[in-house]
Amino acid sequence: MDLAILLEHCKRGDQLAWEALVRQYQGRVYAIAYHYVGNSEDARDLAQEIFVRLYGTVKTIDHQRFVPWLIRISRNASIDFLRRRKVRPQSGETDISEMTDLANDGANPEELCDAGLRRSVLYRALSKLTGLNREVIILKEIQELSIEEIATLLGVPVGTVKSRSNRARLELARKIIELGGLPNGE
Amino acid sequence: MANETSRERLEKRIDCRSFAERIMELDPGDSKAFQHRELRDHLLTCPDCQNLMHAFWSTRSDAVHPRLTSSILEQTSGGSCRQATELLCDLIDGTLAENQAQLVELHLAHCPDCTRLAEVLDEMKRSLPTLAELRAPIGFANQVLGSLPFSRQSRPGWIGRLQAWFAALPERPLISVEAAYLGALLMFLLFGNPFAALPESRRLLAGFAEQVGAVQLAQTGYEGVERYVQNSFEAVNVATTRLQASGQDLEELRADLSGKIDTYYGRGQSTVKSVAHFFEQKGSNIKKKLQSPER
Repeated sequence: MDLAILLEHCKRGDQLAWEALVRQYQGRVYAIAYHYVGNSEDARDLAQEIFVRLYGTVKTIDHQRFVPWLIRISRNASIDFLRRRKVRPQSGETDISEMTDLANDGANPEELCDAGLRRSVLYRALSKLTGLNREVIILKEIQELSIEEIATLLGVPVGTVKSRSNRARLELARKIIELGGLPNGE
Repeated sequence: MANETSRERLEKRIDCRSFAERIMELDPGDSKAFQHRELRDHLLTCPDCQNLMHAFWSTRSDAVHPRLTSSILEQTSGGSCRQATELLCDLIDGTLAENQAQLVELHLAHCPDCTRLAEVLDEMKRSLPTLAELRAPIGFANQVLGSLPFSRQSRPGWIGRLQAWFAALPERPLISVEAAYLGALLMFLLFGNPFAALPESRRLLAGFAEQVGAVQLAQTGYEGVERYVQNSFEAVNVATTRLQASGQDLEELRADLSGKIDTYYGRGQSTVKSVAHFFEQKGSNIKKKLQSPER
C-alpha cells in the first residue's frame, strides 16, 4: 500500500494499517538499531522502543518526510539507548546467522553464505570506525540519506558532511583491507 | 660519402658523450639509422656504448625499474598517493572531471595499494546499501504490536473517537442514505411536523370523519348483536315446533331450552353492554381530542 494512504489510515487509528506500517519498516528500524548498538538483543529492544515512540507521534508526520524522520528518531533513540545503558558498539558480537538481510531474499545457499561473510566483514569494519565516521556511513552509505538531510540531522554544515563522508569511506575501506577484504565481492 | 677518405673519417670520429647524445638517431627498427657512419664506427669500436645501445633500445618506458618513478617523485613532487586517495571516492561515484579521472586512473595503473583501496570502495558502494534493512527476529512485529499501548490506550478519548468516526464517515457505504435521513430529521426538528401545516378546516374535517366512522361502527355493532339474538329466538321456535311434531317430552325440553336461552340472553346482554361501553369510551376520547388545543 502507498505510504501516504497507510499513514492516513494510521492517523485515524486504523490498527491494521499500523501493523502494515510496522511490518513494512521494521527491517529498516531494526537495521539502524543494530548498526548502532551492535547486537541483536539490544537492537530488538531498541527497535521495539522506537516503534512505541513512533506510534505516539505518527499523527504529526507528513508522508513525504516520513523515511528521513523515521531514520532520525531511530538514530536519536539509538543514541539515547547507548547513553542510558552506557554501552558502546562492540565488535565481537556480530552473529552471521542473524544477519539475513532483506536484499538477499531468494538467493541460493552459496550466495547467502557469501553475502553473510561479506556482511560480517562490513560489520566488523564498521564497529572499528570512530563514532562520527560510523554514523556518517550508516546514514549516507547504508540508509542513503542526502548530504543535506544528514547535515540537518547531525547539526553540522553540508561541506563537513561531504568531506567527512569521503574520509569515513576511506577509513572503512582501510579497515576492510586490514580484515582481509570483502570475500566474493561480485 | 662512398669516396670519403680515411682521414676524413678520423676527423669525424665522435666520443662516447656525443654518441650518448645522438643515440636516438640509431633506432634499430629504422633501416637508414646506420647510415650515420660516425655513430656506427664509434659503436663498433666502443664496448661501453654497445652496452648503452642495447640497454637503451631494449627497454620500453613501461618496463623501467619499478621503483624508478616513485624514487623520482620522492625527490621531486613527493608521492601522489595521498592526492589520488582523496579523489578515489569521487572517482567511484563518477563525479570527477574527465581529465582528473584519467590522471587518477593512470596513478591506479601503477599503484597496487591505491588500486586495492579503489576496489574495496567500489565493493562497499554496492554492499553497504544492502544493510539498510535487516530481517527482524521472528515474531518481532507481533512483539512490537503487543508492546504498544493498544490495551491501555487502544480506545482513545471521546474526542479522538469522534474525530476518527468523522474522518471515516465519507467511506461509509450508506452515507448518501444516512445523509438524506439525517437531513430529513433535521428539517423535522427545525420546522416541526410537516402535517401540522395543514389548514385548520382539514384538521376539523378529519376529526368529523373519525367521529362519523365511530358512530357507524357502533350502530353496526348494535344491529349485529340484535340480529344474533333474534336469530337465536327464531331457531329455538323452529326447534320447538319440530319437537312438538315428533311427540317428545316437551316439558323437559322446554326447561332445558329456557335455561340455555337465559344463558345466551345474559351473554348477549353483557356483550351489548361491553360494546356500548367500548364505543362510549371511544366517543369520549374523540370528543376530548376535538376539544383539546392542537399541539
